[in-house]
Amino acid sequence: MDAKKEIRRFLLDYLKNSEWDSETRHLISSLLHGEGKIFHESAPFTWGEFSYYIASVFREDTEFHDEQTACAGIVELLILATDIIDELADGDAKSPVLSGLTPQRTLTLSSMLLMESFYLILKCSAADRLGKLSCVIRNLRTASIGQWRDLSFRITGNAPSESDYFALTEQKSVSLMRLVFEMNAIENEPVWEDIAKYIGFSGQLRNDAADILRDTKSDLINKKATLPLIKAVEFSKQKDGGRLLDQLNLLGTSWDDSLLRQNIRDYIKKTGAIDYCLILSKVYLNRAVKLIKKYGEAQRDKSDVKQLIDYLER
Amino acid sequence: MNQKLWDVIQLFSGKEVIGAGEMALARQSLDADVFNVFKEQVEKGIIMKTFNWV
Repeated sequence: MDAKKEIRRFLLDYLKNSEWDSETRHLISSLLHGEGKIFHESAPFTWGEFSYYIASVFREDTEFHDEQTACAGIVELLILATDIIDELADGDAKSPVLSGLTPQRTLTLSSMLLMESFYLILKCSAADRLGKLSCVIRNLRTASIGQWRDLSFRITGNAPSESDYFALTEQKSVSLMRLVFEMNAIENEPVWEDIAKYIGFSGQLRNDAADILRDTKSDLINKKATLPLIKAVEFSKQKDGGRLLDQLNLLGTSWDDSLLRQNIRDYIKKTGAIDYCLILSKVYLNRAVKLIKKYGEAQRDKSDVKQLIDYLER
Repeated sequence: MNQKLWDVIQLFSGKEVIGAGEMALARQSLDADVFNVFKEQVEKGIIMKTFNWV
């Protein structure tokens, strides 16, 4: 069964028959074709597929199958809603679709997607609708508190620590992972908590290691306290009296600081902070995979476990 | 485990060649699963791009 095809079909059917007007349907469809989304041809990871594969492993009951696809589609819409807000909050280079919208329309679109997702949870869940909805709201609430804190999580004179970083990651990212597990009613399996945490840490570290080096992301300009920058600042304070902090403070003071950004990025790489994050990311992923394999030992059909692991490791 | 990994990365910084003795030290310092990933990274040659402060 091709997860991507199934989720796409669900979403296409839903869009076609939804109460949204044609402009809105077109906008949402375009956003779902963006980077990292389910209709993007080469997205290495989508939340919808992840939800689908997780359900395949942890829910062996066949009657759950239709709901599994719906769940994956809803997860895709929910994450799209939160991504739109993230992009607006970070001030990142906007996606071509969002760049044509005013902030008011962008915010309203996100809110609409969120409400539609809640509606779909109630519509598509065969059992325990309110339980599912409450788990989604609980995790989104935690994530939103984390996202709010993230707005001021910056490198200043008193830089956040590594443990602050992991605490915030647990709040803003791992909660979304938990949402996926709980949406698929997997909360009776004690192992899922650790799996969600490890996958969440791994993904956040990998993204942060990549984003600090990219001009299309605002992490460096905004001096976001992601782990690569926290470690590089720690290194600089010990080795050269905090030269990196001085350089960071120069960002945004001239009309073209592309050379400064390049120097800072070279410096961060040379401190070993990127290696550190990438190694930790892989370690956490390996730990999640180990737990999934252990869980899969008791299963009759091992192919779902293999599919999930292959998906996470590709 | 994280602090130990950071310390080992700093220990290896700027080294052109990583000897067996240094790898043994890393193996001793790190948990087995962390060491395995660290070794993979060293083999890719990524670690050696770091500063040489020695």
